[in-house]
Amino acid sequence: MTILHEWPLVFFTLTVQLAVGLHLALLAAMGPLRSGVPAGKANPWSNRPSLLVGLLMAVALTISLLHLGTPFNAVHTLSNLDDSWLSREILAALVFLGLWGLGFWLGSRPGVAPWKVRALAWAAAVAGIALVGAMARIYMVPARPLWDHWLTAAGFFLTALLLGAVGVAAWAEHLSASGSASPVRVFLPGGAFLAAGLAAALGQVAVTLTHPVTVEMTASAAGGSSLATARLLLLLCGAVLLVVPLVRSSLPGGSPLRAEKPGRWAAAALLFLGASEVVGRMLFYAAGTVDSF
Amino acid sequence: MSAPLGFHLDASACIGCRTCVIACNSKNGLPVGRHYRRVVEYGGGSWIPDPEDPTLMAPSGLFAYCLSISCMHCEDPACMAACPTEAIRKRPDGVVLIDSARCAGCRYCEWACPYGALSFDPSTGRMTKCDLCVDLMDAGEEPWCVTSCVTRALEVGPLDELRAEHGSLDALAPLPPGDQTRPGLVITPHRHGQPAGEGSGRSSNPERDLR
Repeated sequence: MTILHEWPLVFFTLTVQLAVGLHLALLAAMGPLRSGVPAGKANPWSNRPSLLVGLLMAVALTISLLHLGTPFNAVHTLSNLDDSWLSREILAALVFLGLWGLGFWLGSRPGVAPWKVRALAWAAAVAGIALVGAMARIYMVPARPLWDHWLTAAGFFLTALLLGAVGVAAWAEHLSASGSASPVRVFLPGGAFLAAGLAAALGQVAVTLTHPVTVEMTASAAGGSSLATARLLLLLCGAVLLVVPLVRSSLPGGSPLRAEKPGRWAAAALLFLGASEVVGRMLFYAAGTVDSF
Repeated sequence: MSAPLGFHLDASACIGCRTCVIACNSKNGLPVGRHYRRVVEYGGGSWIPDPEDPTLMAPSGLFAYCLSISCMHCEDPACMAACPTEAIRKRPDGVVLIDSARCAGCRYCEWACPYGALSFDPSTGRMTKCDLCVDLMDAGEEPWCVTSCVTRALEVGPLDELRAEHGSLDALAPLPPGDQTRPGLVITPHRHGQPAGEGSGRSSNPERDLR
């Protein structure tokens, strides 16, 4: 089994899904229905977590070039939008990045109507969802039966939800703290993102256990069982780290066990969950080197 | 020849000698480990205690046959649909070719092809595959795999003529069913040939072992 054969694609797909998930979670966090910001303040959309979305996409697109045998011919990769899901994925990535960038730039300028920034953020969100969907369809080809399953798409979307929600949960305290540069009250409490991350983690456990890649690679490939086991253990560790602050946050205000810094638990969970996603994606790509005959 | 071209493989005649593989590698200057044509060895069955003498083992449904395969120059090429740069084109005569000037070496076509026909050339960073020896075909000659075959198991010609003479079977286990990409292939089955998608055997030499 070739584990690191497609490492650029491992990190490209994960970075894109993290960026899209972060953008969607921030959209939920920033209050998409808010009606205005204090006069003289920059739009809250233009803040450090949102900047991370753009940086991640730039890194992802750079990494994707490392996968190409002839990167200079990447200029032709939008030529087959009619049939190629790879062309469509690249277009969606550029549209997502462009809409995010335009919204971020406008949001950094005082006096810009907030509805314009929100509209661009929503449009970018739609492009991001299309991007993850196109990314999944690339792998769902009949010639690769281990990949050609709806669980591939489910796993990709759960990755985005998982990393994005937990990422925002790790940052929620900074987003809502008084004295922060951002004047925005977090639309949803940080606990909502912990819960969403936990649901996504449990969803990934279910996907991992039932995906044809896992079933086949644990049965036939040396090292497949080890990778799958590592993937699940890291997922479960991350899930436990999300459960603890959720439980402690529900305790009464005077309880000595009540969690004061749930973001730290979310940050720790993010490390385990991120590692789990890397291992899971390595197993996914290793399955691609298995011949159909 | 202007009609869509294809291969005829007489699986009942193929002995798996790989002369076709060597000839193809020689003509295209391929290094060890890369192939445009390969021979799949497919077999199955088992050994069971002989009912008449349990101390001996007897064959039970044993079978084996070879399939010499390359790019199928499909009527609906999955590689062409997958390629984001439109580097893969199909000529009017059915030959599927790669335009190396446009190929970015993303290898998506390699994933999309059900026959494992495409090969990445690390020295150029581009994809390559069987081109049906178009340089020879355009000069009125035949591909080297066809001319070198010692049992005359391989034949090339207009698909409609091949189908009229040899039937319309275009797949045999372990190859995928022909309705995926409609390969430019006509097969005369081996007497133990199993239908595509319903094979009970396994390949004894998966492609990865050839790399």
